[in-house]
Amino acid sequence: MSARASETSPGLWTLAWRRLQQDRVGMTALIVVGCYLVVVLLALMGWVAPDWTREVGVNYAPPVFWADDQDETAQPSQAGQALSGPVPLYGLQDPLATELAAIRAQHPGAQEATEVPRRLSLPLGGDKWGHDVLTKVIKGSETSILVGLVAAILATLLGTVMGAVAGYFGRWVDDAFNWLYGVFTAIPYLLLVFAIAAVLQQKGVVTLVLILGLTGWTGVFRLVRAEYLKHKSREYVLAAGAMGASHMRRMFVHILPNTSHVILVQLSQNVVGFIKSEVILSFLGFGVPVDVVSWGSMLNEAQNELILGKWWQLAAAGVAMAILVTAFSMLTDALRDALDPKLKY
Amino acid sequence: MLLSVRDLRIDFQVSRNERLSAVNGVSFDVPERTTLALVGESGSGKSVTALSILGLLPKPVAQVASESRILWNDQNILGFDAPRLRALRGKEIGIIFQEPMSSLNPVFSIGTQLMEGLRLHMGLSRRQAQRRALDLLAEVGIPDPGRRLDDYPHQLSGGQQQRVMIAMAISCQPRLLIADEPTTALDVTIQRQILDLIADLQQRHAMAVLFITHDLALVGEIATQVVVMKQGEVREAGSLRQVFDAPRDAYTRALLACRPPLGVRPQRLRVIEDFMGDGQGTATPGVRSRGVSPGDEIVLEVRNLDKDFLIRDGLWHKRPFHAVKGASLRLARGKTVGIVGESGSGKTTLGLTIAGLLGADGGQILFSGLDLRQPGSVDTMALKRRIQIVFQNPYASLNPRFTVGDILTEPLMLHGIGRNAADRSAMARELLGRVGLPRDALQRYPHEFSGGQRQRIAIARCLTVKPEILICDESVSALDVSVQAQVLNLLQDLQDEFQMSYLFISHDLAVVHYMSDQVLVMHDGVVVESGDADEVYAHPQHPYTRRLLLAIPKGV
Repeated sequence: MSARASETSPGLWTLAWRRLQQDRVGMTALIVVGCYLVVVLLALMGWVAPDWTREVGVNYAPPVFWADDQDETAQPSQAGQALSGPVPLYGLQDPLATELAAIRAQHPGAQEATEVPRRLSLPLGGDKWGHDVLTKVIKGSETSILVGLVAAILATLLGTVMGAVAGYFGRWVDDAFNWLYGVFTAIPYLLLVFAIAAVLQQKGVVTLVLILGLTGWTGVFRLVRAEYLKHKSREYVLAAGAMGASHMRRMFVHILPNTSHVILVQLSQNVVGFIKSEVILSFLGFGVPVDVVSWGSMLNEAQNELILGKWWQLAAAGVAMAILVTAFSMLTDALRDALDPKLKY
Repeated sequence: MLLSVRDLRIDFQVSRNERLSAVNGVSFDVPERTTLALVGESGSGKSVTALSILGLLPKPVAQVASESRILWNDQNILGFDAPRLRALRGKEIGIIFQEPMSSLNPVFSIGTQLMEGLRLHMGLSRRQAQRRALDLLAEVGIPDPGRRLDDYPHQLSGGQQQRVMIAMAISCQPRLLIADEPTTALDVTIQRQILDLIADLQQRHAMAVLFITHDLALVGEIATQVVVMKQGEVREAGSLRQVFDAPRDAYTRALLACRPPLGVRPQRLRVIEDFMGDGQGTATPGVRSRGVSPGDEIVLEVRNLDKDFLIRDGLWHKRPFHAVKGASLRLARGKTVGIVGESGSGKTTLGLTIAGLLGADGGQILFSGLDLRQPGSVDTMALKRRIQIVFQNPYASLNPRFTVGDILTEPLMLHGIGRNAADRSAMARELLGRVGLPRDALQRYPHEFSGGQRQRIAIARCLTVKPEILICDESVSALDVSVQAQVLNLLQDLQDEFQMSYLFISHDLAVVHYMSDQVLVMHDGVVVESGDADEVYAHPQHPYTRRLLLAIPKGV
C-alpha cells in the first residue's frame, strides 16, 4: 500500500469505468449508443421529427442522392396544380354554392383546402403516402428503443427481486419461484407472447412493454438466483448477520451491489433482445398499433414496397437497427470485461 | 547438473501500460537425486519459477527476459519449440499441483487419465498401459487398484486424488518431479502420508524433486537443499543444515522464528520486523502462563450440542447428516479454548452454531446463565453484540463494495452506538489505530489491503461492539507465516486489554497450542478429547489425538 496524498481512493465502480475507458471498441460502442439516446430524447421532447404523419413528399419519393434529373426545389404535384386554381365550371351552376357560403359564414376562421406543395425527393426517400422516411426512422427509433429500454428495466427488476428472494431464502421459497420459472420457460416464447397479448386485448406501446417485461424476466432470475446462492454463504454476509443486520439489509445492501455487474450486463443484453423482439412482434402485426411507427412496422411496410423496387424504407430501418444492436452488443461485452470483479479480488 | 536456472527474470504485462516483475534474477541448481525446496511466502515468485521450467506460463502476459537461461542437461529449455517442450513435459519432468481436485479432469476416469501419458510418451499399447497404470496405483498406495481404475476423481478422497496425481507425474519415470505446494490443501495426517510417499518414490526411482512450499517446517522433513525466495529474489540458498542451523539472511531467520514453537509459549511471537528492521525488536522474552483455574468466571457453557444438516436424498427424501454430536465446552472470561480437528470434523459448524449463525438441533448454549436456544429468552440484538466471529478468508469476509469506513460504522449504526455519523466515524478511526492500521484507511476499499491488513479490519469490525466472546474460525490460516505471527500477537494484546474470551478454531496444531488455555480435539463431529492445553499436547489420551500430534511437521 503506497502512501498517497488524497484521502479518497477509487471504488470498484471507478476502477470499472477506468477499465472501460481503456477499451477502444467499448468506448466507440458507448458513444454510438449515446448518440441514439440523444436522438430519442430530442424526439421525445418534440424537437426533431415532431410529426411523421405529414405527407411531405410525393408517393414513393426517392432519396435525394438517388433522384436523377429532378431539381430539389419543392414543386406542387400535377394534381395539386390543377386543384389550386378556381375550378372551371364550364357554364354549370354549382348546386351546393349556397350551402358552402352558409358554412363559410358560420366558420369564419376556416381556410380554403389547400394542397401543400410536395417534394419530389426526400433526404431518405418517402413511403407509399409520401411520409418522410428520415422522420419515420427517428420516430421509429424512439418507439423501438423506448420499448426495449423500459421493458428491459421492468424485466430486470422483476427478475432481480425474484432471483434475490429465491436464492437468499432457499427452501420452499426457492422451489416456488423455480416452479414459476419452469412454467414460463416451458411455453414456447412466441406463443406465450401471443397469449398474453390476447389477454390484455389492447394494442399499444404500454401493452408491448408489459408483454416483453412479463415474459423476459426468466434469464435475469436464473443468474441473480445463482449469484445469491453463492453470496449468501460468503463470509462477509455471515459477518453482517453476526453483527445483527436484517435479512433485507443483507439482501439489498450487502449482496445486491456485489451482483450488480451480472445484473447490469444482463440488462444490457435484454435491451438488445427486446428491441429485436419488438421488431419481430411489430413485423408480425402484434406489436405497435398503426398510428405508431417503429422499426418493426417500417419493415412490415417495406415488404410490399420492395416488390415495386422501393428499397429505401427497408434500408433506413434496417441500417438504423443494425448499428444500434451491434453497438449495444459490443457495449455489453465491454461492460462484462470492465465489471468483472475477478480481476480485483 | 540436471537442472540449472540462471538469472531468471519474468515480468507480467498486467495492462497496456503496467508491468509487474514476478521473478527478478533467480538462479539455482537442482543436482540429480536430490530434493531441493523452494521456500517463500505468497508473492515470492516460487510458483511462477516452477511453471516457467515447464513452459506453462501464459504466453503473451508472462514475458521471460532474453538473457535468462533454464538449462536441462545443458540445453536451454526457454529456446525449445512446442514439440520438444511436450516431449519434456510428463516424460522427463513430472509435476503435481496444490489442488488435486481441480488438477484431475472430472469427466474422465482416473485410469483413462493415467494411461493418456503412458501411451503418448512411452508408446505403450492399451493393454500395456493398463497394466502399468495398475502397478502405478499400487505403488502410490491406492488400495484395491483394479477396482479404482474406473473410478472418477470425485469418488476419491483428497489424499487419494493427490496420490493419483503423483502416480501420473511419475508414470513415465521422470528424472525431475516438481511438487508445487502438494500438501497445502490436505489435512495434517494426510500431509504426512503424502510427504512420506514422495520421499519414498524419490529414493526408489532416483529422481530429483523440486519441492515448492511456504512451510519451512515441511522443508526440514523432506529437503536436502533449500532456496529461500522473497519478492522474486533469492534471499538465501544452501544445504538444509546450513540454512536451518546458521541462517545468514535476516529474512530466513525471521521465517524460522515466526512460527509458534511447540515446546514453550513466549509472551509474544517474534515478527518479521524484529529481524528486518534496525534490530530494535518489540519481542519481549517472558513466557506466557496458560491454563484455567477453578475460580474463573464461566461466560459460555455448551452442553451436548447437536447440529444436523439435511441432505437431499433422491427427489423427495432427505436424510440428516450429523455434523456435531453432543459437543460440550466451558469458556472462562479472558481465556481461550482451542478447537482442533481436520476438515469435516465439525469444528467450524460448532463455531457458527455458537455464534447463532446456524440453528442447533439439540443441547444447550448457556451464555451468562441464559439459554440461547430458548426462543424469546434473550434479546437477539443484544446478544449479537456480545458474541462476534472472525472468519478464515480475509478476502471473502469484507464486502468489496464497502469502504473500510462503511464496514466499521455499519455495526455501530445497527446497534445505535454513537450519536451521529461523525461520532461513529471517529470511533472507527480510533479502532483502526488500535489494530495497527493507518487512520486514513477509512476511505479506502478492502481490495487495496493485503491479507493481513484485511484480517485486522475484520478484527476491528468485531471490536466495534465490544464483544465478550470472540470466535476465531481459522482466522490466521490463510495468512503467510510472518503475517500470521503479527495477527496472533494482536489477538493476544486485545485479549489482555479487553479481557475477551476466545474460541480459537484451527487445523494448525502449533497455532492452537500457542493460543489456547484449554483444547478440544474434534473428529467426525465428536469431541474426542478435551482438557488443559499443555496436558493434552504432552499426554494425549485418545489415539486420534496421538495420530494428529505425530503428524505435525517438526522441522529439523
